[in-house]
Amino acid sequence: MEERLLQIQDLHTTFFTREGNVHAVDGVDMEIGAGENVGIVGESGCGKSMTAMSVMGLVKKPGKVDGGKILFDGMSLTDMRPKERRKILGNQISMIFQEPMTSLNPVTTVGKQVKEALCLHNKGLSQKEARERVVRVFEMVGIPDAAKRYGEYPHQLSGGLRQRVMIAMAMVCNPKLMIADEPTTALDVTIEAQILHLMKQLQEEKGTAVMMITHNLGVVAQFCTRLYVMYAGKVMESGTVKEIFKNVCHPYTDGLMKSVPDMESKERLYNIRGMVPSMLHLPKGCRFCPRCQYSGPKCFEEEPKLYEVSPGHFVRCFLFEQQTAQEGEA
Amino acid sequence: MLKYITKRILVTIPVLIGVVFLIFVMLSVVPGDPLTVMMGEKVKVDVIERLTKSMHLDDPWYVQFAWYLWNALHGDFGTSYKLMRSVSSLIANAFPKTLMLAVTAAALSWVIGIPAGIISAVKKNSLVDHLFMGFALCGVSLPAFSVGMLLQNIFNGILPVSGFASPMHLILPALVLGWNAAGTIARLTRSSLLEVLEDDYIRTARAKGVAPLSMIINHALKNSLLPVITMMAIQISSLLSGAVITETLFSIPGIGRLAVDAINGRDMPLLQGTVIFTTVVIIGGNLAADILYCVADPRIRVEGGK
Ligand SMILES: Nc1ncnc2c1ncn2[C@@H]1O[C@H](COP(=O)(O)OP(=O)(O)O)[C@@H](O)[C@H]1O
Ligand SMILES: [Mg+2]
Repeated sequence: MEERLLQIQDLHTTFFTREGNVHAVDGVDMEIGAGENVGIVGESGCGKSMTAMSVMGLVKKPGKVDGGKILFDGMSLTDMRPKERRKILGNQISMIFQEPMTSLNPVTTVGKQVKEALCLHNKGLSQKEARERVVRVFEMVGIPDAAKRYGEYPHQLSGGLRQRVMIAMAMVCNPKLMIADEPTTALDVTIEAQILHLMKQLQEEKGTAVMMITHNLGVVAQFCTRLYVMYAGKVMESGTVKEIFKNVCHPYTDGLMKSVPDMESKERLYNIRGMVPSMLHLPKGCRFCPRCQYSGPKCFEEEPKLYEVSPGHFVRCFLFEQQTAQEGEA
Repeated sequence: MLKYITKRILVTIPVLIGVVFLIFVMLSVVPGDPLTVMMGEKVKVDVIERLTKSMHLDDPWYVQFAWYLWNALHGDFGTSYKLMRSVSSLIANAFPKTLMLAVTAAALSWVIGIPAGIISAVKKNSLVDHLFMGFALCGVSLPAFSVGMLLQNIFNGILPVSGFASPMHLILPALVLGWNAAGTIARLTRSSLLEVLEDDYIRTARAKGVAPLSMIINHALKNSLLPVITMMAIQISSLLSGAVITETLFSIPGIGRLAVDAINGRDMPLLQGTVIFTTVVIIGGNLAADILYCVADPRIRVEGGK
């Protein structure tokens, strides 16, 4: 891995609700190198967005980051004052959201909204310069008629174009890290491919690191070099995309792989049996074991740790405890 | 947008005619011979005949309506039975007083209601919020006559409590009306702002690094004030159409008082006139609300322009 840009250490994000405390992120460790493209995968509700929101410092009440450290470029985000942290947001770390239809302010032109991100972090810029730069970024993200689109309102643009505006907003300050939270989930397949292509191209040109959150392993295979698989607030498996696709270890990851829609096969889409557990009533032991076909008595009692099955490839499953031990002895 | 507004204005014309018709019919079927009301019991027969003719009282109702509509279009709403003056001049006389009262009350309600709503939303569930919202609830729910009498009692000797001789006379009645309007506006501003602050684009703005104050002012306020603008336009039109209770309580000779006098004296032309005037003002207010909304909201503005 290149120089470490983002380090998440033992992150805990909890929602203090009336029904009880929901540990949406429950001891996550993660690293993203400069210019690296990292995927975070998991079913809906497993804490992907909350991990991202914790990095951004945007977790809303009744939620709170209540443990762990987030280091960005050597600075501790978690210990920073809000004012200092805002100087990094939108500037060095930016974020794209899942809902392009509602993520833009309906009463302000899209150009102004992007310009605001630019001017906020570049105080010396004149209005004219800022405008020109925004139009150039619009062109860069493939918005046709950029100068005209600058003065239009969000409702005048299609979903794909709005997501391009969001990407423009995220890229306008040349951030070191861009977090994309299911940026294409709300779009149809052809637009999805275009947007992913655009992001990949920008990422390579500008050397921006990307945290790509998705529930679709197909997107990860196309887009990322390294991968974290999350389940119920914990990382279940992590490693390079190459290694994990070659040697799937965790039964959960295996299930996700089989659920990727395959255009060629006519078979019914595979579903992992059972449902994501309620975060309020997590099973004792391994969180996945009630849905796991390999689970043994130990799985119901004890929580597995992350075992390194090969260098850089970690799995949170007792099936691989032995393997590590043996490798350790050898 | 021009097309939308033109359409919107044209639509009000049949509405107006319909309303005039309804009022005309309703007040025509009220029992009581207008001439008796007007002149008392002892009138000569030939006078009655002459008046009946000149006022078209023996024509069928639709001819009477046509005459009424025709005259109304020319600004003539007949003559008050009791005051023996033209209804239009009576209204023209009363309206400035109602206007001054309405403008003062509305201004008061905006200056107090909007900031109070914003502060309440920003400091949600704090002491200030509870305090403001308690005041607002009182303003909305306490009836005007009780607030009015309360204020008259408290300020008796300090401020004028009756009549319309100086700007000082405006203070108490404007407070009564303004408190009510401010309560509505503060509550609406608060709930609307809180709702907007949950929207996705606010999250986007936070992700840009926008500071909290700028978030409220530049991102949330415009969206959250859209419903408030509509409310303000409707409120001011209702204020302009005369606050019957407040004007009566404080003896302000405005439109509301005029209507009350007309009812008490069974003065049908005057009552018709004031009710139609009120209707026009309210329809106008709704029209203004729609136009304002459409100017403020680009989603409607642009679609209307296409
Ligand atoms: N406002 C909230 N109140 C309570 N729990 C919440 C709230 N928001 C999120 N959570 C919890 O956090 C968990 C993770 O959510 P999220 O990170 O959005 O999942 P995803 O992986 O789909 O992005 C959810 O399963 C839910 O239990
Ligand atoms: Mg999510």
